[in-house]
Amino acid sequence: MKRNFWIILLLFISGSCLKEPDSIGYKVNLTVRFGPNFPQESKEGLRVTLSNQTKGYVLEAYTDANGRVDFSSIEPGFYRSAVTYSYPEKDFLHYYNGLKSIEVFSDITDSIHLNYSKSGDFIIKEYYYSGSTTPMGKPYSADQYIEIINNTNEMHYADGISVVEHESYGSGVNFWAGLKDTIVARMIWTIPGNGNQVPVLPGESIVLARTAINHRDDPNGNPLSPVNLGDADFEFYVSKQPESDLDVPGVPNLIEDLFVFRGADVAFHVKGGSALALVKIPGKNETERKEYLRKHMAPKESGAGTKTTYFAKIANTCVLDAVEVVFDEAHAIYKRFPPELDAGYTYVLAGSGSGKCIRRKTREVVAGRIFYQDTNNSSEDFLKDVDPRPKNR
Amino acid sequence: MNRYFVAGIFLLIGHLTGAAGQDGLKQYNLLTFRQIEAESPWLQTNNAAGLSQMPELFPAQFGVGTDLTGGNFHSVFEGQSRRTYQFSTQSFRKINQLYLYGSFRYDKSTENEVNFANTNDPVFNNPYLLTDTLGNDTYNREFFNLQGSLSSPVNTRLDWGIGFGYRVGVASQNRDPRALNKVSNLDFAPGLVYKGDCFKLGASLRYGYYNEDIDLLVVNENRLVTSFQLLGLGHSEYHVSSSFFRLYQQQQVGGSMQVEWRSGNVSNLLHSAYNYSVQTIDDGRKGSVATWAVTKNDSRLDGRELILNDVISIHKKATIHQIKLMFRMDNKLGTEFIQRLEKVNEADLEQWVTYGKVQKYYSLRTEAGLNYQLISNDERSLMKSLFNASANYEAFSENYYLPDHDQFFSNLTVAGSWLKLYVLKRSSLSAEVNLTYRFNLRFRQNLEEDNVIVQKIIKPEFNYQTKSYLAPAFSLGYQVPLKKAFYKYFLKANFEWRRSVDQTERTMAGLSTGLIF
Repeated sequence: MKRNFWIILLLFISGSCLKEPDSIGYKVNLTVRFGPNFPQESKEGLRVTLSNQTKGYVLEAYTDANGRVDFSSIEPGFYRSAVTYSYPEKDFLHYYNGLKSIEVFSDITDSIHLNYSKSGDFIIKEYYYSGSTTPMGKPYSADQYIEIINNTNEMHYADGISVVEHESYGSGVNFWAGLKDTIVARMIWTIPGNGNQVPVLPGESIVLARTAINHRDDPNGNPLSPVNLGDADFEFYVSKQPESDLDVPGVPNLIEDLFVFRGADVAFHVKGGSALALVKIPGKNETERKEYLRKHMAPKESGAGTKTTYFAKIANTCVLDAVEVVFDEAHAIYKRFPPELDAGYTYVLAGSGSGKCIRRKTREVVAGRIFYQDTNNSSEDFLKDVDPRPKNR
Repeated sequence: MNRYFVAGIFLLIGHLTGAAGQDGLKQYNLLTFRQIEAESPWLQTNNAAGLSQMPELFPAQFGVGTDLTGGNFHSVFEGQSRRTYQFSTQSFRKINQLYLYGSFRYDKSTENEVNFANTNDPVFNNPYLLTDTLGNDTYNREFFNLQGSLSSPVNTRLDWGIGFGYRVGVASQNRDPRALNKVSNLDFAPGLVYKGDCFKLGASLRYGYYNEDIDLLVVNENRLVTSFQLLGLGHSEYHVSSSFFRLYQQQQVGGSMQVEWRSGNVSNLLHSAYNYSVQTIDDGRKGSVATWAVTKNDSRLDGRELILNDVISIHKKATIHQIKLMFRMDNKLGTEFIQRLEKVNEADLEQWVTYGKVQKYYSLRTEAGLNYQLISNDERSLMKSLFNASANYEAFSENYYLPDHDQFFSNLTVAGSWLKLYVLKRSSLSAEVNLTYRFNLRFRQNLEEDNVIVQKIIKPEFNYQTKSYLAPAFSLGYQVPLKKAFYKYFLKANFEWRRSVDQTERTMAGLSTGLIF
């Protein structure tokens, strides 16, 4: 009788427990497709990452001689797998990037194609788009800027280089994803000159300011702005409504080659929708560039089909550098640039009005000069939420 | 205005259930409520019909008080210091054959230097907590708590009873991102007790509903902050926004059974209870300032709780020896929703689309305890001293699956206390000393990740839970009768000091005053 009581009691206690989860882990087997020109000796030991898009953690594995990597015990979810390989040749760094979105809800066998890319002469070093907040708590974004640096050992001319904003803000599927080897722009601004007028020494940079004033001190500025852009090299200026956009004397204006939704001022999306690229559009001068663009326009109908808007198509071969800036992790699925231009994405975690920016990481410092990392993977190349320091000042 | 209206209603209820009641025969003292608690194992069973089994003591009490807690030995979810003001009233009463208990309590507290918690009661909602990493917040809380139960005989063999509890309040923080928590908790428990010649059988049911609505707001314009939705053992999701909403809803059902056997001066009460709960956690954000604004299912937490208690009481003239064996098992299973933000229709509206639900979290808390207490009563059967000695074992294991993380710890807490009432010429004085020592028996922590949540929350909290400490405490009470009334005025002060093995400390002090009758 007593024994039965204890047996019943034990059964009751053990039956009261919830069952431990059956931990279902999946296998993800990936094969890296290297392409014909990839150095044979480098195929083994390539680092492949698998990033969980929801939780942000990253797993890594290394390829065998056949380019295979096996991840095991992977929780179900949405992942992004990336491969980056680089090697130097003379003054250039050559890059291979591969990127793949993977949905893991069963065992997966897939492949990643590596795309060749070359580090450009000019790269975007710093991009400040989040804006700041005034003492009255109002948003202030006139202090946005882009800093471009000559990351090589030779002097290069910056005139003729354009800053391009992608057509999509990355809030939905990229309408132009079907266009091969091409990006589509809504805004193009070009550094003026004939190609020999804006020399940039190795390691030097130029700042393209939305408004080239000392934002902290200027009466038109914001005392809480983190930047002084009084010594910016160029300025975005829209002549549509002079009272709406300050044209700072002494600071040359960028050339407006394309501004589809032309407003009274240039503004990059403070929440991070503006993905940027540096491009060299064919043409020796403004007229030739615009003629090229005129011939490469792409139509897009509005949702209701009542209006057609034209944007500019730019071949990937024209792109010197691209930075995929997204709103946040949840919107990273709407990535716009292909992996050969940017295999990753980045954003200011602190959000709009935070006064923070993204800055390229330092690759190495040689004799006091900083070389910045450019693997064509913004997830790897950029620091998030840093204080803006145009020209390191 | 509403606050005072509600307080007034609750006060009235508290008063009707007992504050007017006074049998006039017994001059209840400072220890009477402690005596009822100590002598009435039935009152600890959650079976409201057990109210009829209590000793014939019907005190009432009004009181106001304040507590102050401070020091650096605390959970990561607690602030460095906390001050609480409370007003409370409680009473036992008997009208003919109807036993009544009612209590009302109002608490207002300010907790300073809170660093991570945006959930009102992090222990309750573990592991699915809402946190941010901007510290030095102040949490202001205001809560009303109403409890009541009544019991009466159906016939000579059967008693019935019903109990309810309602707690409602708000908590708010003063710095961005500032959480506004609206919390309500409802409990409802009917029960029966069958009385045989030398035994009693009891059974009760329980339904509970808990709701916590968190409105996380950034007041500074055009500023976004990051909030973390913890998933357990260092895993989390995060969102950057100027607003974030979270809704916890929990339904709980359960039942309990009691068997009491009595022979002469010896009685034994065996009590078991089983509760099952389902908690769902949903998130959302405001549209105009967020990059997404639709409701997102975050997770679900299933819980099972088993309680087994056995109380042996031996009555010897004016003394009662009581040995209590306790066992409790609390088991939780967490499920995550795998969702992705997608545009799902022609209007381009975004929705979180569910791709699956995965069980990811499992925890088991086991507690076992042995308690001995010796109650000494005076010639009027009012308690004059209480000795208590206890040893409690606690083990807690947590697992997160894929990537696998786990942690485990077990602690043993031993405590002893001595409470004594000194009767003076007109007044009386009570003194209690208490010594508690908790020491860690074993711990293990396997965490692969070393992110900010692990560094700032998981490891420090684990360290706090496993740290050994010594806690001496004492309290003093003074009571004096009022002229021309049955009321007795009392003043109580209590003090506790905890010191851990790594020299961190926590001090708790309290002062209360009121009337007992």
